[in-house]
Amino acid sequence: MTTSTRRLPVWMKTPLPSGKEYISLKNLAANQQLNTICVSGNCPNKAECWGASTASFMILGEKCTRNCRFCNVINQIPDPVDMKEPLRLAETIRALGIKHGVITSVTRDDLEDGGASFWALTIKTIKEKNPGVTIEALIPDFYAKDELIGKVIEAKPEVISHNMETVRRLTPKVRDVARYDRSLKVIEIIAKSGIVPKSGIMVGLGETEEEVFETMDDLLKAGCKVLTIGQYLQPSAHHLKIEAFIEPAIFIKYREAALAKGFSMVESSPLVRSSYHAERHINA
Amino acid sequence: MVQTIKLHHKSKSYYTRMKKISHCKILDIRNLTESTYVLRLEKNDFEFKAGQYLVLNIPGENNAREYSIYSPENVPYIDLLIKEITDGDVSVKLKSLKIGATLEISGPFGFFVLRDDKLNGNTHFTFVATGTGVSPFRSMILSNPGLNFDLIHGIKYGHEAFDSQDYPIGTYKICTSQEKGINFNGRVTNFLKDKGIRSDSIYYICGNSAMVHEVTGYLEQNGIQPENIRTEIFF
Repeated sequence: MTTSTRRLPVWMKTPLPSGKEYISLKNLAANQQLNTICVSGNCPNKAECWGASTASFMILGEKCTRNCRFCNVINQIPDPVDMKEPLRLAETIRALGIKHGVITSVTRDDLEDGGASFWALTIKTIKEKNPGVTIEALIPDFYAKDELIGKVIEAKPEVISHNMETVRRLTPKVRDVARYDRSLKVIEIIAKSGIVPKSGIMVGLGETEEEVFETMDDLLKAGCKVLTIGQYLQPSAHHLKIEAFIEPAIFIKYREAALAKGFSMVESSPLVRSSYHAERHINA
Repeated sequence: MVQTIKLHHKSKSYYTRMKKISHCKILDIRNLTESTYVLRLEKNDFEFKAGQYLVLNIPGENNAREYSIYSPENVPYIDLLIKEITDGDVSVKLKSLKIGATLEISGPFGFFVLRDDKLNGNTHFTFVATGTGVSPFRSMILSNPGLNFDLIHGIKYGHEAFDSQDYPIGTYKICTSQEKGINFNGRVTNFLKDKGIRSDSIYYICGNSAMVHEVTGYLEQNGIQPENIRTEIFF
């Protein structure tokens, strides 16, 4: 694995986050002993997201059983599930005054139900302790098992998302264990439930425009309503290299094409991440 | 691609510790073939579960590589099975280092370990590897005497059946792609197709991406549940 750095094109550069609201949220998170990779990872959107009272939380620990080549989450044997986490998260959401929370998790192939019951408990606890708060559940594939995804559906988050991450051809190179068609089945199960189905892909991994359009078609066929498209950024020298910085005009082209094809909402720009503008997607 | 707030009550030093870099000396370099060798390192206080990998770096260079551990859990050294790649800076440089030279390691990483819930019974494991992908399986097998398994190893030539004496008689199945003779001639997928697959086995597959996906696809098409297949891809 060769270390290489690429200079960011001008459209990937953003001003440093600042503002009273951002600082107070940052301090509150620190006081609650939360490890915020929004801050430590210097996410370009954190000021905007936190300013809109939206935040993303990762549950079920920080050790993932899968080793996807784009992802910065550590691939290790996970720790036992922390059953106090749902309550702590619910209380944190209240303390931060969050109106729309995005919950995601590491993949827990070590658990018999992949963590589905824990997901349901977490969503229910947040909703009980925070009436009015809306939730997007960004879930792993649960091997596309109806009964496991059904547990998350029964907890009634407003949006359930599952990211395709990339186009069909690149899936084996980019994702570990996951299958393109299996992920489409996850979207299909969500869509059948009536909950807003959402997915996201990264570009700049070597895909062609035609392949991106094909993925849009596949997602629509599965019932997907919301799509996010953002530039892949290499987290470290150990991760997949960036094949291209996609120009902003192409992102506009993708957004227009996706809307024309039938998606209800599309976020497509270089800095988009899957939870970007997430609060808007409950209306899709 | 999610910006996340990780919700833990562990201190920052916990995360720092997980990525802690240890220094260890080279104890030995054992040549297996012209292009493959075993690099033996000091273990010191490095603990791992058989099947996991570590990240290795030559001090002063920012060119770390991931290697699955070849030795069992309970020996006082760490063996890594390394194939020299002509344009692979690290594998060539490592071999040129002297015994006693210091390397940086971090880890262990990975979830490619034997399922604890299946270790106590008489569960059968099928291990499928190509080339140096045999590394984690040797560690698993030597760490768990009495394990009920078959190891299917895809190699080009018979002499690449590294340390074959370490496996109980009848458990090690060689598939040679470039050499006809006493071993099965062909790819590991063809071996599985030819000999059949056990529906009651837990499958572990390690090696290059194409082989891992081909074997996984074949197993899934033939009724093996995805949760009973674990994979590790060597990039």
